[in-house]
Parts: sequence; structure tokens; C-alpha cells
Amino acid sequence: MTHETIQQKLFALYDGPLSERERKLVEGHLTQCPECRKAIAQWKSVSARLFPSQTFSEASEDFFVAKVMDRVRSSALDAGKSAWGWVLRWALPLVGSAVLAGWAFFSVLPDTGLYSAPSADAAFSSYSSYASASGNGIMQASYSPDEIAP
Amino acid sequence: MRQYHKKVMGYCLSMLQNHTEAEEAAQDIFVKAYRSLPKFKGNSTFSTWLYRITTNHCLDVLRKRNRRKTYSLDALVEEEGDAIHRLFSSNPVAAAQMENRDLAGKILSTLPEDYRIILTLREADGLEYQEIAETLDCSLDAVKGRLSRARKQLQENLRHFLRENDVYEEE
Ligand SMILES: [Zn+2]
Repeated sequence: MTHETIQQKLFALYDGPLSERERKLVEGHLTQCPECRKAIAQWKSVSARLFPSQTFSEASEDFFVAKVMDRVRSSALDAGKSAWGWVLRWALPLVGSAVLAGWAFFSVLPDTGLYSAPSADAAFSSYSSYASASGNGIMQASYSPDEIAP
Repeated sequence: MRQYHKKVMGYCLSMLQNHTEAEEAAQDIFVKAYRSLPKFKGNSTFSTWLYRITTNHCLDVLRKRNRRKTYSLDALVEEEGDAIHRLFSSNPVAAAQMENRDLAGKILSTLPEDYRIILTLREADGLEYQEIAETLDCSLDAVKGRLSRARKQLQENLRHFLRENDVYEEE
């Protein structure tokens, strides 16, 4: 085999997967060809510096595993909490402001005489039923804590 | 989990080149994997699946890291030429030190993303061609070709430093 064809196999040998026959050929060539030896040596030198092997102590692995499990557990809890947190933070104020807006809208308009509105009371009840319906929608869309908690 | 900790952490370190960020990323990856475990169908090996999550996550981190400079070769050589020279003329064991990891990260950032990924999978994690092909969802020939081009380009980028280093070569 020539130097050119060997060169293509050179890194296959370095990386591992070569048939027995090919391995012998490449190794045989390497003993006679300084250029190929140099190519492999140079790559080894690059790899050793840019991809140094890592060692991790058992203690750091223990710490890592504990930390991950902690996060898995607390994220399950958080998912439950955040569903309720979301309802409290957004849905309640939304319902509240819808009710207020409805009340303001219908209590002002009748005074102008341009629009014969239903009474403020009726408006309030229709708005609050609309708002609570949308509120329910939100709650259904979010996860209930029971579903998420382990 | 222990069995995979070293692999994932090694991969993250090579991709991110920063211990704190790598540790954080590795945690995120395991939490993510744990949660999507029900989605793991078993049509790839578990480690391939985990490597895919890891690759995507590291790429996300790299993309979000806007402050991180991707170095042009010229800028890097000008700024860090002496340091790179020291790195390549010193004992390889010193490369694991943090300041050298940082430098290694800068050197690797001169490569296109897919070259960096494939080199990391092969060199840092020791994946076989078949495993790389499954992780990156490409053919064996594509793996061999890309790996060879990536090595060539990296050596080409480092040519000034490697030539001087010829004497050191065999450890
Ligand atoms: Zn040769």
C-alpha cells in the first residue's frame, strides 16, 4: 500500500475501528514512514492539550447526583406551585379588573343617554360570570398541583 | 447516573470550557433527561439519546453566551500567541489547568460549530464512529469525512505553533 492510501487509514487506526489486516498494514507502514509517524504524533499532541482527560472525585460525583435529584424533586413541586402562583398573579387580577371595567363602563354610559344599558347590577353579574368563566379556563389550561407532584 | 456523569461533564467542559458553566449545564441536562425519560423510546441507545440532549443544550448555552467572543484566527494569534506557544511547549498534563482550558476553548472557537462538536465527541468523550453517527444523525462516511476535515482545519489553524513544537512531539 502506498503512503497516500495509508494516510486515509491512519486516523482510522488512531480512532480504533480497523480490521486486523488493515491494522497490520498501517502499523507496518508507520514503522517505515517518518511522515506518517509525525502526522499521528502531531495530532496526539494537539488532542492532549485541547481535550485533556478529566477526572472527577467520588465526592464531586456524589454532590452532583444529590444536586440533580434535589432539582428534579423541587422542580416537580415548583411546577405544582407555579400553576397556583400563575392563577394568583394573573387570573385573579384579570377577573378583578374585568369586573371593575364592566362596572365603570355600564355605570357611566347610561348617564350620557346615548345607550340604554342594562342596569349596573345586571352588567356586573354578566361580567363577573364571563370573567369567572375565563378564569376557569385558565385554571384548566394550567396543571393542577396533584398531577405534577410525585 | 454516575456512569454518565463523567461523560456528560467531560463533554460539557470541552464544549463550554468553563467549569462552573459546565457543571451547571450538566445539571440542567440531567434534570431535562430525567423529565423526558418517558419520551425515550429505546430506538437509540440511552447514551446516544443523552448525548443528543447534551449536544443541543451545549449549543444553546454557546448561542446564548453573546458575551463570548468567537475568535478569528488572526485575533487569537495576536492576542494569545505567547500563551498558545506555552501551552504547546509544556507538558500535556498542564492542559487540564483552568487557564489552559480557557485557552483551549478560544482555540476551538476558531472552528465551525460542527467541527467542534465532532472533535469533542471523538477526542474528549472517545465515542466510536457509529455512536457519533447516531448522535449526530448522519452516516458513517459523513462522520469520517467531517472528522478528517475538522482535524485538518484545527491543525492548519495551529500550524505556527505545531511547527515550532516538532521537537517536543513524542512524550
Ligand atoms: Zn506514510
